[in-house]
Amino acid sequence: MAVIVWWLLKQTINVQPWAAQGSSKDVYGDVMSRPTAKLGLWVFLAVVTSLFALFISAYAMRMKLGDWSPMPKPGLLWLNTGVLIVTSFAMEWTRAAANRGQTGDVRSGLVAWGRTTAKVWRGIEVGKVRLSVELCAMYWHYLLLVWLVVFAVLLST
Amino acid sequence: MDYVAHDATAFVRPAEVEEVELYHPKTFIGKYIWSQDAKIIAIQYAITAIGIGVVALVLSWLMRLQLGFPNTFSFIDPSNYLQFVTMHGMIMVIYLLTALFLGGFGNYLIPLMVGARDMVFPYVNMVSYWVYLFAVLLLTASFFVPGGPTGSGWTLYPPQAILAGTPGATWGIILMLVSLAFFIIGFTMGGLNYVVTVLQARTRGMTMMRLPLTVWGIFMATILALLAFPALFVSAIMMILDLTLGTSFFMPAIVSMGQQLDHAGGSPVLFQHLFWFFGHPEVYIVALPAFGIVSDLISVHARKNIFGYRMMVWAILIIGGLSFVVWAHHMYVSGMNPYFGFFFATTTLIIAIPTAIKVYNWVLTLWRGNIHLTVPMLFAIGFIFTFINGGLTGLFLGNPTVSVPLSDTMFVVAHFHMVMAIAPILVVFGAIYHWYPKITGRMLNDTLGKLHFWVTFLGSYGIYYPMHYLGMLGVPRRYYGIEGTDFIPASAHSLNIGITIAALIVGAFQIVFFYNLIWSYFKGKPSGGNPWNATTLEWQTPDTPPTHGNFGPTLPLVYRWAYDYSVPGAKEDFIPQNVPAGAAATLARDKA
Repeated sequence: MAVIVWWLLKQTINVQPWAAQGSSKDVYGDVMSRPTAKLGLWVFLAVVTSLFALFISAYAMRMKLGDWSPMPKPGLLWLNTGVLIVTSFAMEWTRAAANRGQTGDVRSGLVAWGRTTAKVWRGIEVGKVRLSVELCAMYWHYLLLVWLVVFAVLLST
Repeated sequence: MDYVAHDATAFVRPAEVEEVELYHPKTFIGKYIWSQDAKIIAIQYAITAIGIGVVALVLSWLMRLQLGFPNTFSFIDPSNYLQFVTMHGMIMVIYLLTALFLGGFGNYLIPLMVGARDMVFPYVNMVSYWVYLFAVLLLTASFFVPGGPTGSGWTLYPPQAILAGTPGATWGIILMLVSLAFFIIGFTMGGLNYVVTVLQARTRGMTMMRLPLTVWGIFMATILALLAFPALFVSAIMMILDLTLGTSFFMPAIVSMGQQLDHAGGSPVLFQHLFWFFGHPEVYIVALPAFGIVSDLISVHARKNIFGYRMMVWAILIIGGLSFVVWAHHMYVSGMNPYFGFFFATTTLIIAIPTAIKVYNWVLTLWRGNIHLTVPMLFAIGFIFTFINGGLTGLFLGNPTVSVPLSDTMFVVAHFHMVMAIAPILVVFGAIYHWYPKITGRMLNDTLGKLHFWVTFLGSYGIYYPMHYLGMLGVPRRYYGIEGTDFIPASAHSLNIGITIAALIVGAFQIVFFYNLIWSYFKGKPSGGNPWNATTLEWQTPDTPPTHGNFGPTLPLVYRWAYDYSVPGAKEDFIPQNVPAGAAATLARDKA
């Protein structure tokens, strides 16, 4: 929310739309360099964040009421969390490789993602899958973050 | 060597989005059914929304028949009555208004107004409509299942929503909750498109502060919806779990029909918090697009630039932000901590400030304008009146001391119908009269339009104005019958008959509107590309109606804001956004 407000303020303060009449900066300015798909994913993640925040706050409010019985916390969850963190690192390593353009490294990092993997195996130039890899990495990191928060909530009960 | 380009486009940087590969359908089905063109999707959304809206209109008639002529109609029993109330509310707020403003007007106007070829994710956009249609069908199905649709009120408060004794507590409520969940999924797909298209696909020169206010309104409403609908999603999921798996998120220990139920410890107030965290922003999800559209209608038809454009944008942003911190003013009598009431009353009353700024700016735009009383303009002015009336009663209801005695009376019904039913619907009509020529290439019939306006406008006042008095007399809402109550005078009953007759007339008169839509499609006067002499990009398309891709071979370049009307010294009283500054027409003004 704060990001949205900051961005909107930046767009709107000190602008006089009625007076601006085609100096080149005004007419052609404001170019977005961010890929559309990436922005789309960010917006989607904002929606998911809202969803989880609400679930967690509802959960927290319910926890305070009288008869709450805490969830079991199997030790396996710790192991799972560890695995997730490792995969997140692997993902980051792949993303870096894709940025540098090293097909070999990318291939080894792409065990789990069908579509992107297929593209790489078909031998498409690494540059072209860079965005896909980046989006997958973003999403994956985000999921890890959400899991860590949810895990913390579980542990705190 | 110095090189000076004389051609203004020589310095043009690459478009903000590259030329996209558009999907080119070959068959009728590909073009009109499984279409990825935002304009077709918009019309699909609009037709579906209006279709289900007519169902909700008929439901409101049935309610009014019972209230005006109690116990005359054998097919309305208390259970039916509650089901009508519930379905009428839910359909009108979500499946009609939200879908029509965002799915309908959003899809049609955003790409055209920002100068884009289409939405940025056309396939997702198409799926959005089909998921919405599925949600509507699920909702409609609940009329035909055992027990009928849920009768728990559109707010679906537990515990009563899922307890035996409430109509539709078995099948109806599940279909309602699942349908809402699908609606939200479908909306999220559409909403991603609206937001990202506004951010990424604007044509060159179209800065955020050159966007028409229509786009600002829809854009901000979409952001609100994307962040608020998850609250409804969460509460729907938790209620389904309470109902089917026997969890106790919202269900306290409770005795129902003499039976102690298995639930214990849940909190009904928790549901109310979640519901209204969605429910209040929902009011602005409907209102902000209406604000935006009405700003443009007034500016075009008064031939005058909008007064205080930046203030208008900021007011939209501030209203959007505040709408997330006022939700508990719907819960003054819920039993929550009374100190909360103080906080929420304060935030609620603060919203009146940016809203009043908008109203003053509309009035100041009209002031000394060259007002053309066209049909869209009549509806826009009707909106301002209605919105002020509904807004003022909002100030009453925002104060807990006044609100508590008025809670659950007809006063509340009158207030929210004025402010979020009649007001936005007037804008919907105004917008249809305004953009119909662009959508079909023909004008709507003017005489029928004016007739439609006056009957709808005055008739709505005939319905809702007297309801304020009923409310102050203490007539409760949601009651099937009020006979045998000493405090309600006989005159209240005569008033109820009058309201019912007004409601029947206004509802039936919409036939004239639908007739006009169909007749004009075939026989209406050809409109040309820009019948209102408007400046915004959708009126500058090479074809009317615009073809797939909107703008022909090259995208327009934008040189100015959307409100250059009656510019001193200019040849005509409007300068479209894509006319360069150097054009002789404007030189005089720049010197002045």
